[in-house]
Amino acid sequence: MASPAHDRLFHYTSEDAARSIIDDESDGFGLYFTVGTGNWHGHGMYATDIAPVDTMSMDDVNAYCFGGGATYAELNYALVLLPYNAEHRFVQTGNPYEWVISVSQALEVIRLETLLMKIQCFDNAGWTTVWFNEDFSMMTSG
Amino acid sequence: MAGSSVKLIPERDGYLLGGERVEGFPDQADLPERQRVKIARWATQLRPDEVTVDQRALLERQPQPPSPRRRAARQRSDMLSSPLVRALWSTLDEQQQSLVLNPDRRVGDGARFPLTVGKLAALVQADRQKIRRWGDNHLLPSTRDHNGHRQYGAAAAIVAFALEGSKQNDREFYGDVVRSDDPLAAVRRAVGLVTFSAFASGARVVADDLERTSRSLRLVADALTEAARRTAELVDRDAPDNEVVQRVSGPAVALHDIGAIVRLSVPADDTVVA
Repeated sequence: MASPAHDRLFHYTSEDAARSIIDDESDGFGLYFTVGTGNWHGHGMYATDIAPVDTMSMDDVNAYCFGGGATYAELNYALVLLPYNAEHRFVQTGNPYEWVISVSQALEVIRLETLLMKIQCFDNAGWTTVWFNEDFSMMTSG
Repeated sequence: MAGSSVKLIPERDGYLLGGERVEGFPDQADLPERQRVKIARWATQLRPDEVTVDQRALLERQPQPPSPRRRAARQRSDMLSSPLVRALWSTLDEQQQSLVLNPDRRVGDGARFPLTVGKLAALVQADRQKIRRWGDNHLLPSTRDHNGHRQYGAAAAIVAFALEGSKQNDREFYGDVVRSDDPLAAVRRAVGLVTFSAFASGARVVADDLERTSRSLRLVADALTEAARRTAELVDRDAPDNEVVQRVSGPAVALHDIGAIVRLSVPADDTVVA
């Protein structure tokens, strides 16, 4: 399970995939992730604790989570996620840098309204926020 | 109340409505439906035991994911992570890789994936007819929008850059492979002949090049192995023989389509997105 030390996890993905999350949200489908056909440690939504801070972040994710096989085009967007809600919890795989919400099959839907904080994109200047979850209040209550 | 918007509080144990904290996720029947749906979704994900019948009914009336657009995006993403496309990425120069990451830099107009035929042509600086011809010859992976127009993702951009950098004769050869009755036999023949020729020419062999080529071929081999495994699974599931034959060895199977075979559970390349 995601430990208290990891209050954020990061799902690296392509522009196409990240933008479709934003577009569907504004079309009334809400925020959700669709599980892909890859099943490295079974089907699911994968994330890492390697934060998007510079170019090395993509290199590190590629090395530690993709065996060096991925391209920057698959990794230049990052979903910033909370590690759990009542429905789902990211659980660490055998890889110390990798967590997964497991599901039974490809194309299954994982709702993200209470998990997804923001989406960041890498360009030559670094990582910038291209979308954030406006439904999260910035202020603590009480 | 009708103008109020709801915000999830950071502790995720309630929401703010008009600046007031509400404990838990009770429905607010006088709010606009969009706001009520938000509350119902939060309830489902954070306090599932407290979701009411009305909230369940509300959620059931909403569009159910995945959307056709998401299915198409998922398909394009899967193609992008295909070992075959990954192998082509390393053949692109630095500028081409940068343009795949930021198509807007050359195409302008805030261009982002998926691209239309015209925008992909602008990105790789090829004419539209050429892009259409490559598409017609199944050399470029694509999905279709609700009007039936082809949409091209980053994988298509990578393949298009690789094709644009190849010679006319080579592209004709790729087209021949696609149209062949037995494309995999054509692949075997081509790999054998090209590799033999490369060594027979006596050209200098650089260790780095050998390693890069070896890695690319391993990626292709991985895709073929995975395709074989998936095919075996399909047969094991008692799929009709004609379906297996049609999907695995049909004439439309090209090199890049081996990746599509690997993803048999995803709609085929020419699926029209409603």
